[in-house]
Amino acid sequence: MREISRRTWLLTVLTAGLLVVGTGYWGYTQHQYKQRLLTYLNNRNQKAFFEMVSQVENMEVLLAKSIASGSPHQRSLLFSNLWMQANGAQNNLGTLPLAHFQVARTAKFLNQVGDFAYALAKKDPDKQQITASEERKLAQLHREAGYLAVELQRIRAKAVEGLLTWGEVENQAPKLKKAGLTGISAGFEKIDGQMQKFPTLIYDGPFSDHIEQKAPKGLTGAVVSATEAKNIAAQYLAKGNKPLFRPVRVRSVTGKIPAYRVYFDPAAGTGPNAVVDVSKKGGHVVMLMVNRDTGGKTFSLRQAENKADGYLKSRGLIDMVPTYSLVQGNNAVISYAYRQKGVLIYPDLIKVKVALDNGDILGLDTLGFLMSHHKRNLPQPKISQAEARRAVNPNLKIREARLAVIPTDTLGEKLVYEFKGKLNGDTFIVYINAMDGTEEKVLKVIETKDGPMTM
Amino acid sequence: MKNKKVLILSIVLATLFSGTLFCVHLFAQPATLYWGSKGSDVIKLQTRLKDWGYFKGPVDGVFGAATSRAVKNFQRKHGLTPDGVVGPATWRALGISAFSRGSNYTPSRGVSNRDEITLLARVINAEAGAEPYEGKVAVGAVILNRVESPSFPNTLAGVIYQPGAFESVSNGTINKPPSKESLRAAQDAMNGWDPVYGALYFWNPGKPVNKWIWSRKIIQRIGDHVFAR
Repeated sequence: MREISRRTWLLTVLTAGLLVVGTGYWGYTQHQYKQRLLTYLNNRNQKAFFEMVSQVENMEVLLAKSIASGSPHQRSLLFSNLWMQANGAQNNLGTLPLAHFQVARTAKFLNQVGDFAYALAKKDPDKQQITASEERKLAQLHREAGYLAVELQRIRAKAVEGLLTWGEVENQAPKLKKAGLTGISAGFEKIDGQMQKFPTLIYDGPFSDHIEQKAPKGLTGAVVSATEAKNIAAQYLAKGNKPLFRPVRVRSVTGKIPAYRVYFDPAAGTGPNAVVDVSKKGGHVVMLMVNRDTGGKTFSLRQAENKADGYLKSRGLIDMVPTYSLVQGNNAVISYAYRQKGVLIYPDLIKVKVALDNGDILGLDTLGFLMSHHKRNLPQPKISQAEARRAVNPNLKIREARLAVIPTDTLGEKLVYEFKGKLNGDTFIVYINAMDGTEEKVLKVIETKDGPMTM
Repeated sequence: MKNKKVLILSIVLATLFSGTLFCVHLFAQPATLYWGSKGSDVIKLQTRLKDWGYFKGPVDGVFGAATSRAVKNFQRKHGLTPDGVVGPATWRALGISAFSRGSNYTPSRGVSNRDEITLLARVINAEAGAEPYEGKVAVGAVILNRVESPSFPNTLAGVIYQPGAFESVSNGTINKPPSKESLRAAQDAMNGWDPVYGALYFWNPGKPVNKWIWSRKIIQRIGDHVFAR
């Protein structure tokens, strides 16, 4: 009895010992593993940070050179390089573990410099001069890049001495304060606060500050009440004479276009819900969404286009031409452009979503149309279609040609000839400026499993 | 006697425990798929079957009746047991083997935004899974508005994986397969539907947020989220 218990006791001790040793070893390997991961993460952050600082330094140098250079061709190259450096800096900044509010203005600055440089690089060095106001902007940006570079160098100096590591910023802050150090994120926050005092930048590119402040051009008519908005919304959801939906409440939406949002429940008690936005000024439907899962395809894309055509006409949205259709799952999305005297106006865009199981309209988006639609004074083309054709790559077999207005990156508009053609088995759409014959844009039509897609 | 039992049990436990400790790492194999499976492997399977003309249904990442029929047809054609279960042999026949999960089969001219839609849908699903449809599209729209905004990274992946930008990305919940509704919402957002008119931020006011966020211009509230620009 006693012997057994002694042996038992021995074995138990052994087992317990094994457990302890095992756990200890496990804990140790886990700890090592965690350390390796942390080091790896830290290294990645360091790389992004160091790269970003040198890219900002390069930006400062390139801006200085572009101001000093007298050769338009040399400048063009400098701008291209500047665009690349700014892009890289912005990219690296986006991967650093910093809070958005600590870097928002810095990110914007980097994006704008890159974008502005791209706009300048696009200029034909033989024909288009850099304007005096652009020169002034370059000087301004050079000062700002200089400030940013110096501040970043300060942070980098600390990083090099090993005084800073990346990590949970909040946890470190009090400890750092005690040690009389500031964390990397605090440094960035300070920079961002300083940069918010810089003037806005307005230029010819999509990240320009004036893009934010555009007002809708297509809101015609008198202000409507919430009740009127409800009726308009119901009319856009009606199908035949028995309603599928009933309005349940109306709310205000403050956005680019102030609107009433009307919420609908299914009339039958079961079925999909719907939301319709109606602009307060003029009572235009801005957006419609029906939340329904479509099952199966009984309608072809062609039939869906007919449905969408009829829908727009019956709602008084006339002179709209389908330009581009896409099948996604069991739905079709069809884009329309406005047509004024035979010219396609691409900025006046309306999208319709059609269910391919029963042909119902599941979505409408007229925001583009309402933002840009107005009666345009279209200029007479300065060059003929035949002349424009000569500007197209001769290897492209042109099948269709027409006049169109396309939006520029900065909400401007250009009158162009649109040529659709084939080259090496791919379809392309080429836009030639109707005033001076320059090639504005090339789109490639990509046949996906869901239908064509342009890029 | 009792002692012995305890002893044996503890020895067994200890061995088991240590055994799991020293097990290095598991090899990733493509999962065996069957009726009811969900997720990215199912999407891969459906895409491949669709490319080869076996499958006519939607590529939705859900292994249902249509997928099962397609798999059985495929297995019959390739001399495999037509059991509708996609195991290693069927994967191999599909040209997707265990050690090349991202096997680089691409159509000759391929750009597809389907994967981007799935990525967007995952974030929508994780951030707004319990929100109304309008709120799901809104979250998708915020992400796409960020891509267009100068203050944020310029790619979809850059915006989604920006450190600290989305809680669901930080804690890994975006790796869950998205629901059908989230996929649809992602598609609507990609097609340009934007119920929040250019909003760049959304947050849940019931959770602790950075004070700074309240300085933004609020556009509206949908469900549990406030949207602002």
